[in-house]
Amino acid sequence: MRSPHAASNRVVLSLVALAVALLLLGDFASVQANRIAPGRGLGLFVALGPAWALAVLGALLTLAGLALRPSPARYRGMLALILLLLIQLPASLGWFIQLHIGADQPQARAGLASGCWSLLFLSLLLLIEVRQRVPAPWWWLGPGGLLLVTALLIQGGELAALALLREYASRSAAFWQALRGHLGLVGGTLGCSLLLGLALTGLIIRLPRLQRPVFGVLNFFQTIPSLALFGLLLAPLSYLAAHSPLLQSLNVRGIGWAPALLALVAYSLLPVVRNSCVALQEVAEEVLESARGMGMSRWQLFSQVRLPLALPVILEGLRITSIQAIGLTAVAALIGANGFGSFIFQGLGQGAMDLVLLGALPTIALALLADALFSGLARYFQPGGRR
Amino acid sequence: MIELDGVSRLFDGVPAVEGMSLRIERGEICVIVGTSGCGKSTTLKLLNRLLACSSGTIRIDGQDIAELDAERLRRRMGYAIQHTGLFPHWTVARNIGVVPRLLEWPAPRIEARVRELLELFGLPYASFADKFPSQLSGGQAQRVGVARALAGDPEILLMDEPFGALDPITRESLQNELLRIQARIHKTIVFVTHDLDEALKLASRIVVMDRGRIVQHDTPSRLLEQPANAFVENLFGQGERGLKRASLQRVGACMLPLQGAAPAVSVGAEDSLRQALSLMLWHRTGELCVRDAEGRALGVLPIGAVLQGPRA
Ligand SMILES: Nc1ncnc2c1ncn2[C@@H]1O[C@H](COP(=O)(O)OP(=O)(O)OP(=O)(O)O)[C@@H](O)[C@H]1O
Ligand SMILES: [Mg+2]
Repeated sequence: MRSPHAASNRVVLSLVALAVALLLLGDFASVQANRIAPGRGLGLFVALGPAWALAVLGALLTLAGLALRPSPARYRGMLALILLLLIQLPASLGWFIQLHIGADQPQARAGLASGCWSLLFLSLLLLIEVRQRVPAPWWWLGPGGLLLVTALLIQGGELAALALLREYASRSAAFWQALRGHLGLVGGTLGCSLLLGLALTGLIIRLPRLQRPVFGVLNFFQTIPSLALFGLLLAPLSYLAAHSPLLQSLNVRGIGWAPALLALVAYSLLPVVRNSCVALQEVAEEVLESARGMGMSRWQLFSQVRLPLALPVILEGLRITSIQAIGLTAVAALIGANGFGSFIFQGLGQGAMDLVLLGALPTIALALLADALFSGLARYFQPGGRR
Repeated sequence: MIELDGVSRLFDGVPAVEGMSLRIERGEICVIVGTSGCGKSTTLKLLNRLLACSSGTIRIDGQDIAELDAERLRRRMGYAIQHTGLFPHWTVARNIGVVPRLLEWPAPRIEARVRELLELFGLPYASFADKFPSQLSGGQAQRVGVARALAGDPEILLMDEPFGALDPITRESLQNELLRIQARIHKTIVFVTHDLDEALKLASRIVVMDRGRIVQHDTPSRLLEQPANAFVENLFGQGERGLKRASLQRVGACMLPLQGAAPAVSVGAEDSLRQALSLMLWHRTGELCVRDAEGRALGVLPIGAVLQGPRA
């Protein structure tokens, strides 16, 4: 800790200044009479009314005031204010909808504008900054509360007029089908590349002279742009499908899930094989020697020593693979693979940004979830880090 | 009892161990010394079949080890190596319990054994059992390595420079611990080291190897007094031989009865003649008073008695 009269926290001050400027200069949210009509942007005071607007600005200014002479107690105060800012965000949207969209306008929709987005992202940045300054195990109440309030308001119908939700409402069946398709393709990719990758790893470890050619091929796959690879697979798969009733019955065609899965597996093999190989080969020689010297059998040596020591690195390979596959599955919509990518490309085609968001946001969420899941697993299996 | 009979091991046609014949009695500490690359580690690995003999046979209690199940054989032998090879993903307690678990001991017995060994090596169970190897100092890790080798209550202990890379003080205290423990458990120990003082201190008998062959196999004092050839003589330091031999001899075996006033400077009866000589040089005196652990005067040690050495 520095002296009690520590210098002001410039990061907080600048983030707050930026937030106030963007809130005052840009639109907070927008209203559209219907899906086609041009949107009308509203500033903070018009959008939320003076009371709510002043409360938000007041919270931001108080935050800046506390940041002038920070102390642990004041940092906790700042954290509390940031949590409030985050949690009020969905509520403010509900309030906005109530103010500007009447029940008699079932076609009208509300959109988020720059002010709302910047308040969200700058609050999250503030949270990250302040969380480093004081130990506060309750920091997650901010993002958690944000999600909870959002969920409750969606449940209660208060946010139904949000453009994103209007898009969802008009294609909710397609949304869940896209989720299933996306997860199916990603899961299939993970499963296949894990099986194939571990088999290749075993082969390389048995026959080290295969290492160079195998990695050469896998590296080559990695250098082909995804669209080109999808295109390359089109012709041979169509040909195969045309000549094999079995493949036809599985709905294998030049477009659709089959080329997508093949391409995704081709991309995924490199991280899986590289990480497993490195991890399994790099177990220290003396550890293996003493394990053998203690009288472990080959299987015990593998299952109790090699694999547990390699597991965190293997999981890291799966983490890279899953994030990559989640992103590429979206692109694979171009060749007809089912997933959130279809919303993105439809939205881009129709100039409907909210439809793009309906595809993009869940894709991002899935990637973040996969990241958290696999890093958590890797940390759990870290040697000596299991607590 | 371990018997090697004409044992050789080739690597790509080049012998690492050649025509080695050796008998190691039950309960003795046999120390193998020699220059780097002379085949010491290879010999140990032949004993627990981490390597197979190219020719010759090794028998343990009369039984050819090539006919035994390798994994079962290894579980009967403790194995400790210089870099410890502790399993980094397991706690100290789990590391020590490896062989008992392989031997399928019941859990309470393993737990009791781990507790006993940790205490034996001066590592309190409460503070060390749940540590991971990365949290140990080098000396603590080597102690755990040796404790792990002892855990399955093996008849034979193979140790490959187990105290290597330690500072002299820690090293000496681990050597003393090993001797203290050996006095209680009487294992057959085959011990490889680079450190000749360590060899002289620990060994019942020393095997000197050179380029894969045994040059001499003898007790420490006979190695010093009757080196088989120039190599052994060189190895055990020509100029320092007198001091090395003195360090093997106890003051108590050389002292004379006390007559008249006790000399001012004292030495312990269990100390070595080397320590007595050092005291004489330091205090510029030719006579020391010999005392037992309780400080009672037992006799005197004049410089003449040191020169004569132990009486028969
Ligand atoms: N796995 C192996 N493959 C090929 N050669 C080996 C192998 N292991 C040992 N050697 C060779 O056998 C000889 C004896 O090696 P060993 O490890 O037994 O020596 P050492 O006496 O233990 O040496 P140090 O004191 O340096 O540990 C060396 O020349 C070494 O190069
Ligand atoms: Mg060696």
